[in-house]
Amino acid sequence: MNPDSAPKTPAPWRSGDDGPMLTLGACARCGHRFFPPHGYGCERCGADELRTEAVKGIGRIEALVDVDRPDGSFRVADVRLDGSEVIVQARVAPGTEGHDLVTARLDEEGHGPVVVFTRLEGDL
Amino acid sequence: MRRSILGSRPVHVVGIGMHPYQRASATTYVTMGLSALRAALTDAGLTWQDVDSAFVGSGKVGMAAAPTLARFLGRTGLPVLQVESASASGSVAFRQAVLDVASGRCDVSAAVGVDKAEFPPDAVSKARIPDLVEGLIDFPTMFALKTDAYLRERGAAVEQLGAVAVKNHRNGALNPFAQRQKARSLEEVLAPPYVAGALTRLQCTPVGEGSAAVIVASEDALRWLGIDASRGVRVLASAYQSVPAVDLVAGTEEESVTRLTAEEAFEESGVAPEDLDVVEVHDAFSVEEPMYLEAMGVCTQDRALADLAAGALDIGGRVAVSPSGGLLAMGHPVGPTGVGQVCESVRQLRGEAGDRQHPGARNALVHMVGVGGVCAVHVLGAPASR
Repeated sequence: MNPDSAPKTPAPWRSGDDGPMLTLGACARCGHRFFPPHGYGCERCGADELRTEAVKGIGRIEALVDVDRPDGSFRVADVRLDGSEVIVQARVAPGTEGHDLVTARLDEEGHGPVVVFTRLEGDL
Repeated sequence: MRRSILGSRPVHVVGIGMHPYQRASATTYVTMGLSALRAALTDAGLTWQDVDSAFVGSGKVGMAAAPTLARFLGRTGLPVLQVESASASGSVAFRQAVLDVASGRCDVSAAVGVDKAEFPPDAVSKARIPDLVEGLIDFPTMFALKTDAYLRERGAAVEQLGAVAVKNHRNGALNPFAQRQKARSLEEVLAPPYVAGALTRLQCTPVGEGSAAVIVASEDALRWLGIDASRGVRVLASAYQSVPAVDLVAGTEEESVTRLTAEEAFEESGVAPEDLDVVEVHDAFSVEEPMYLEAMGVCTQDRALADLAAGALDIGGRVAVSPSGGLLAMGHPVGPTGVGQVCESVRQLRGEAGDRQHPGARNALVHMVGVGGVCAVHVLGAPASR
């Protein structure tokens, strides 16, 4: 890494054929995975060789709150991604409840495309 | 390797002083800081010329607060240092003063926390790591999520959590330095509007301004300077940690760093959680009180809300938790908060807390966490004469 330049910070998601793909950070040395991705260094082992993994955003809600602000209302949640230690904070769609199985969708309305998790029927 | 130095060279809190916590005002930080420092010197029976070093805890006021304050107490050339550790800034200023004396480098040191109400940008956000919720997750929302998880995991109701704020507002109503000095019913605490999730305004700390100061001294200084030892409160432990290794995290990062920092403080002090009479805990949001009491072992895991409901955490109960009113009622000006907790604990251990005195207080613990994942825990012991 060039010491004079900031490490490259990957975008947290990209468009996929079947909805948005989330970008996890992953340590090349110890395998620790994390979100949001960055290029600074691994929190588990300190290595600065980091890579990314694109994953489909499927997980289960662990906590969820509604927030009303003068500039608008929204619902956000902690989502534990499918079978992993990674927790993602994200917008969730109305009607979603705690412990729901959810998947990431792209909401193109409003202020441009944003990732929103919506309820997924069935089980993991 | 970690070593304790408090056992070989005891340090005592010999003076405390406060400027009331309040909403944003035209009062300068200098006025507030000097007010608290002069009160602490008077309480100790000392002058500024007796002080060998000073540490200023501040998270919001900007650079060069320490020499500016020291200048107006009469220039003596003493080393002064401003320390910042987010919400734990005052706790760290206190720790640095304690360690300066415990190390043998000097005999009398001052710690003062001072801040104005305005918030500057924090350094965490300046790391510029984009996520999916940019601009949405402020502190209340972050802790509303932790509240939701805490209640779900325990099958508890929001009313049980609201009781934390009822207790702390009741205590704050007895504290002339508190920003909120009004007792509140559960209905008032739970009444909308909601700040985020289940958190109402009275379950969130008011972040205002103010100042708190303490003077610490060695046992040599007690003798040399004729300080009243019967009012000296001994510092039994000073522990400070940041987020632990990834594999040691259990629960939230705040709970994990609290658990490990408290373990260090209990080991250093020889005081066990069940020996505590007074605990001042970081309760910026109501959920934090039970979270941290359980993490520190002051309450059994999953039992804090039941203990609260039974009155065990009241003044006069098994252990008085946040008799000052805590951050929820006393307030959280940031720099002063950790020092103010020490002031309250010293009052309790001296038996000088008036209407909010916890009977027979012998051991106190003060706890603060800070943004970025830091935690400070101090244990204080009553004067030997009590």
